[in-house]
Amino acid sequence: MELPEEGGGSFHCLISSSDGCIAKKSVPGELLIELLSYLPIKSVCKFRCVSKSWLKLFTNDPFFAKLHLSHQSNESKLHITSFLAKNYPERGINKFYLAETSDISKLFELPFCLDTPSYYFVHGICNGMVLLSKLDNVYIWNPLTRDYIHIRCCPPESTIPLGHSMCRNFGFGLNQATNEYKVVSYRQSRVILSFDLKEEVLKRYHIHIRPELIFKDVYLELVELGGLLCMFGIQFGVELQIWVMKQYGVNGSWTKQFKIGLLGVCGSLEYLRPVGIANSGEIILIQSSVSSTKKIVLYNAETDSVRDVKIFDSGHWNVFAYTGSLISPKFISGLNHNRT
Amino acid sequence: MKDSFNPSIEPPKKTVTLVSSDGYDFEVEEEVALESQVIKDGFEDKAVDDREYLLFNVHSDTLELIIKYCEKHVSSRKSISAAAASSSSSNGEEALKEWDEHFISVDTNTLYDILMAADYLNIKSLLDLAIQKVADTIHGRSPEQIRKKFNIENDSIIDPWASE
Repeated sequence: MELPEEGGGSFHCLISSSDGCIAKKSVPGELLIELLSYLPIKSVCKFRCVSKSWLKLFTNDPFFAKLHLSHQSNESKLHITSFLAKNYPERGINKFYLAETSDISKLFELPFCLDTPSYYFVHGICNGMVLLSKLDNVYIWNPLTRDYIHIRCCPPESTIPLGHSMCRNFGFGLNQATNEYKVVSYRQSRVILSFDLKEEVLKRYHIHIRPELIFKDVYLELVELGGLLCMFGIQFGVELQIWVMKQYGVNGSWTKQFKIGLLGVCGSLEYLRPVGIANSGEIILIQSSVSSTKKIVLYNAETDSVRDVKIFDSGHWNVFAYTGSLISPKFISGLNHNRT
Repeated sequence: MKDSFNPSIEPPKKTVTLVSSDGYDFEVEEEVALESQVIKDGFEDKAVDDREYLLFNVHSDTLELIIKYCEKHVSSRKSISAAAASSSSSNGEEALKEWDEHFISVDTNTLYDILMAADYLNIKSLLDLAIQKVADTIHGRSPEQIRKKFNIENDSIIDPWASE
């Protein structure tokens, strides 16, 4: 995508003086770095090939990566800028793809080169880094900087049958007070557990939801929508409810925000899973039918309708909201790995 | 003159003089000038009758814009906090954002001059505004256009992400 040149002349004229000599009027280095840190991640990736020093700045400078992350507007943190998609392995090979919400017809294939092809679970995404696991191997991978680290995970306690290690769950987050990234391993349970990354304590949230949602065959899952902790419940073929914890940590603040009737909205008995909120305010949902065809749709609460955005319209996909960063997993020093 | 003292009349505002690189004097209210961290830092050390600042790097055309920006921000902050104190609703911040957007929509030469002056005077909010604007104008360009604009020699051997 090229922007048209402004009528008033290019940036070149203003950083070069009239005789074309840059030295008299150039952007000082520090200011240039500041300026580049305001660029959207997509542009930064594109400009890596401008010069060796820019490449170094964009791929191997923890300070710049943090500065860049801090300048990504809150809006882009709350709204999805890209999708990370993973198809189900064909011949055991995972493929990851990245798509921009502004141009979702284009899918970039992301090579993820681990020695043994196998099925990877995506457990969480934090600041552009993806937490993946394969059995007891855990990886933190940044699809944009293309590097990863491998965390050798402690084997599960001997009381648990070996095959159950597949069910282990991981959480991944940043303790902003100390700027430490943490990986937390936990086992599935029916209460919401919150691990406070700062205090390193587990908190339990009992789910106070009206009985109408607590019946058999309701599938409950947590999701972050627009920066708020939400829980959605799906009664297959009937409806999707989204509950929002309006005040984080306050049990009484769970509020039913949306109730989407599957038959009325999709016209068929399909399964909807919310992944995020689009710039338009619409809820991004993954819609999958009985035949396992998945697609992304946008739900408009005012009109109680969905519109198709024509992507991933076939095959087996897992789609995640993704906001990129330059933070390289290798920069994360002092990474703590805790088991709970 | 003791008899004429009237508490309802505000004392005359203190002013400082800013001198542009081309020799023009700008008399501005103290609080407006103090929007610049550089002026603020040196302010206490200066004698009260010598509050004149020579800004060797800022041309009068640019300085006029910078003062306009600072005056607007000082007055807006006052009205926003006044509205907050009387707990009346105000869209002051929204209006200021709009004003900023309009203010920074200038030709590229002026934008560059504002950027450099905001950096030199260390006016954080204006610097952020100008940087964001410059970033907006370059983000869609090709690497080759960027090399031209920043006068950078193409020294990369291969594009490691050429496939994208």
